[in-house]
Amino acid sequence: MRLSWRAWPSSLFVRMALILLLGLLVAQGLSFWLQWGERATVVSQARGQNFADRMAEVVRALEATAPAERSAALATLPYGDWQVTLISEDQVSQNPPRGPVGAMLSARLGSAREVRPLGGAAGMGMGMMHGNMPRGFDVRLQGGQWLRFSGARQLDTPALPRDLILRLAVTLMIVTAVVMLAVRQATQPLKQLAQAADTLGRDLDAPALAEEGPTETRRAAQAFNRMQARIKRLVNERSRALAAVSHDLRTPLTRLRLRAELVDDETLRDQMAADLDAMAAMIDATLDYLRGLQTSEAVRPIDINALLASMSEDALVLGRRISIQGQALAPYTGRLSALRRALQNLIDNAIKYGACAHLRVDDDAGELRIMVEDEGPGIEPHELARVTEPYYRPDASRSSATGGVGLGLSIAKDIALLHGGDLVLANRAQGGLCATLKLPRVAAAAA
Amino acid sequence: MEKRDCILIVDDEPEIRRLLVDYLMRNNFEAVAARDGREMWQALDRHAIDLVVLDLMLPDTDGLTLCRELRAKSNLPVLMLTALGEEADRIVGIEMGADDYLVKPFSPRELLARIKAVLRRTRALPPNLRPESARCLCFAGWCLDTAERLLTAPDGVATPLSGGEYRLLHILLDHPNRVLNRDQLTEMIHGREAEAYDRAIDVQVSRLRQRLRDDSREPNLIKTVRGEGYVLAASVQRQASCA
Repeated sequence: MRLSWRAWPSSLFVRMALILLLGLLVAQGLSFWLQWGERATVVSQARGQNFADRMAEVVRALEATAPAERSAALATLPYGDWQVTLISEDQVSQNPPRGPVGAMLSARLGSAREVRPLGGAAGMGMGMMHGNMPRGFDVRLQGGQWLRFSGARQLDTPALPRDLILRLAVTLMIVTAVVMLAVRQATQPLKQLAQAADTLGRDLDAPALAEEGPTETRRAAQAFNRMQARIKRLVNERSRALAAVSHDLRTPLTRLRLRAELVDDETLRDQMAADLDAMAAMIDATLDYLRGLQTSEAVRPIDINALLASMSEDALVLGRRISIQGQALAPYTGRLSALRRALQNLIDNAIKYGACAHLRVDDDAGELRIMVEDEGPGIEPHELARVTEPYYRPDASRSSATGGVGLGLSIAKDIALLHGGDLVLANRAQGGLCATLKLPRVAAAAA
Repeated sequence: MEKRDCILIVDDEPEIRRLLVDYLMRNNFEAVAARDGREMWQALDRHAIDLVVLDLMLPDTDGLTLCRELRAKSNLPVLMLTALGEEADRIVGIEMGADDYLVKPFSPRELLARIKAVLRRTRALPPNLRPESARCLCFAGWCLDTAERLLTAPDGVATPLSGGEYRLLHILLDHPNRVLNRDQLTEMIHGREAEAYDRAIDVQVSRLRQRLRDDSREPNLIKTVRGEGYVLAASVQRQASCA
């Protein structure tokens, strides 16, 4: 059962269609079988009567003929499909005399005749009724002469007439079409629901599902629309709350920042400024992360080489040297600000933990890979998978000293995923971490 | 003693107004404050203002509307402040005619540097040559979106620019077909220290040529005028959007 289940088609539509068609075929087959039996009975009864008539005719004719002339007379008689021969006493079949045929013959001739069936005698009576005529009969004429009727051909029920088959086929086709239609009707809303759920994942503002069709479908669509509205409300409320909090935080931070300028002790002032910068960076990172995937930025072809060069030049202004190796062979179609942010996070990370950043570009028709490498201590192998989780930091004490909230890599990873790619972290053989931003070219073009 | 530039601060937060005025005064500026649009117009009538620092979120009219009205009436440079760090807000701010944009909490020194840079940029040009603000500057098939700070190639490829490349290109586009010498360029990009950055300008020009796919031996867009400086050899169209 389990094995056959595996071969079972996965589509609900095909399954339901198959079940209904199978049921239909079984029902048709059953009714056909019943009809066939009835039909066979009627046909063989008619044939039995017809046979008895002919037999009676032959017997009557031969009995009216002198025994010596019977062979000659036989040739002139109409036998139809039967072969009629005169046989001697010792050739007579040893089967017991036959009831129904004998009775029919006797009734037609007005007096009793002995009739013995040829061949296997078992179930003769019933066999007769169902069209299984014996291969022949021996009949004893008045006067003792035996006559053999044998070699009946065409004793089975004649083939079904063509129009009956045609009728069956047409019925089957119509019912099949109706079944397909009904099943499609039932499965179509499911398909639409799945599609809507998919779209909702990408676009919260997707139009609501049409609430129409049968009750069940309508109810499902209504439930889905209510869910979409709730999710949308939640997300919007969250965004509003975040904007409010960030605004409310930024204002006191700005005041603090200005007040810090009033501090005369230069060291103290710089330290305060650095703390305030770190706090502002945390707000920015958190907002960036929460905003991350709902980016509505347009997709466009980007000159990756210019992007990397401009980032390296901007870093130089801050005194950070970033080397670039290799180059993109063609513009990459994606979201510019998002990619810039992902790369900036990786570069910041490399410089923060690895003291330097080396960019390596590896490009082919299928995928653009940008590696950001550093010469730091790398990451413990068992931590590699976890460091891209939001707010996760492998070594809290070290990170808090250097600042940051543990969102940079999560944001970079989310952005890679948004482009249908991935962020892969690995420790380099020669020491340091290698963060690879994998950007498939095909998925981005389709997005 | 040179006349001090007068900065008008428009912000609804009294503490920030007071602290900013203090800070600017301590750094050789005159400073006046207004709490909303109404007070801003009054202050503009009363004082000779050189630059407006405008908060995006104000109680009566929002900063964007105010910025647009200000732009319609005068050439006064505007530096926008906002508590929202959204990219879209920055773009709208620039579109509404702000000369620069700073996100709260900003470093006061950064504000000072930006104020000086904006004043320098707007002063470098005689009043009648002040280009009217437009979001997009298009030339020879290329288009520079000043709101997104993004250069788009004739084939539609987005070409990111570094800060230095962007400033240089922006200045060249503000003065098409005019030879700008190294001192002028350095002055407009970096401020005073012309000599120290002399070579830097040449490096920056050659980088920018590379971005513009301009052959450095036979440049078509940014041409070298021997012994004088550089010139952008193209006509520039100012557009509301990069179509």
